[in-house]
Amino acid sequence: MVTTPVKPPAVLPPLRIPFDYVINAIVPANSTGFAVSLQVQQDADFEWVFTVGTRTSPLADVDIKDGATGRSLNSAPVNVDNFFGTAQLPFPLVEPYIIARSTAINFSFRDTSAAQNTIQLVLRGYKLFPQTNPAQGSSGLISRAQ
Amino acid sequence: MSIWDRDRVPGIPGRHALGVWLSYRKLASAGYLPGALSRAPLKFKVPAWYPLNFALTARLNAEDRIATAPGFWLVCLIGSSSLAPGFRMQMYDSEKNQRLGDPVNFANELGSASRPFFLRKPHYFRTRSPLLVRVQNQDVSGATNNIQIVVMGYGE
Repeated sequence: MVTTPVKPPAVLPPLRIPFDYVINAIVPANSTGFAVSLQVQQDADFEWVFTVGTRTSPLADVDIKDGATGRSLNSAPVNVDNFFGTAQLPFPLVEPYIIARSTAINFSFRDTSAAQNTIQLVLRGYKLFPQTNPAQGSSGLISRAQ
Repeated sequence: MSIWDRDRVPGIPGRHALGVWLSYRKLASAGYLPGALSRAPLKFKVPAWYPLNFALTARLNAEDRIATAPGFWLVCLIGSSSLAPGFRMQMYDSEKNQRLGDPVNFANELGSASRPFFLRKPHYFRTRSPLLVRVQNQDVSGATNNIQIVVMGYGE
């Protein structure tokens, strides 16, 4: 019996490497507009799948803006407990959002707890490495290991 | 390009790499999530959060509105109440002139970020016609109830 080899598709799907982008903010008591910027690394686009985080007090808001376009992802600040979940119960984006490499994402935090609020927000997802360009970013190490 | 595309190596059947639907949460059941057909229009859209804030004392009512971007898909509802008795809410789609249900306790309509309430079929807003939200505080103590309702979805 002759078996025909499987032809790879014309456009290969990207290699997905799990990655976390972490935003740490020590928000002073009752401060507004506490800004933290996140720079997506240049080696790969990022596929944002989950949002998780921790906070000292739930009395805090977060506002997100895409630095490349100036576009806000929310119309007004969102309470942190309504924005991120935990590692056990993460908030999923049912359709993941792809952030282009080198994009700056600007976060702005507000505290209303009257005490310092230590917030860690994690954008969890995948770095997308093109299979057709295995040397990109990782010098081929990641691609060869697959 | 999405985690829903299962095959990552040509010729080898894929599996879900990150385990979005972990077995100990309700998302493990596809019955709680929009199906593949319902998710298709969300591709290449931008996630968006529209929060509404209310600060109400005992038994007070309030109304507010959300004007979404044109072509917005409402995917999930999230909310919180600072006081345990919570609130009741009702929504009205002014584009289609439809009530989206009778007044319900917020726990029966809204989830949290950890346990979001997903619409099995995302609700579409073609124009910027506002979504009206009416809220009644259920607390009688006289303290201020800080309420937030978040409409999360995908827009252009």
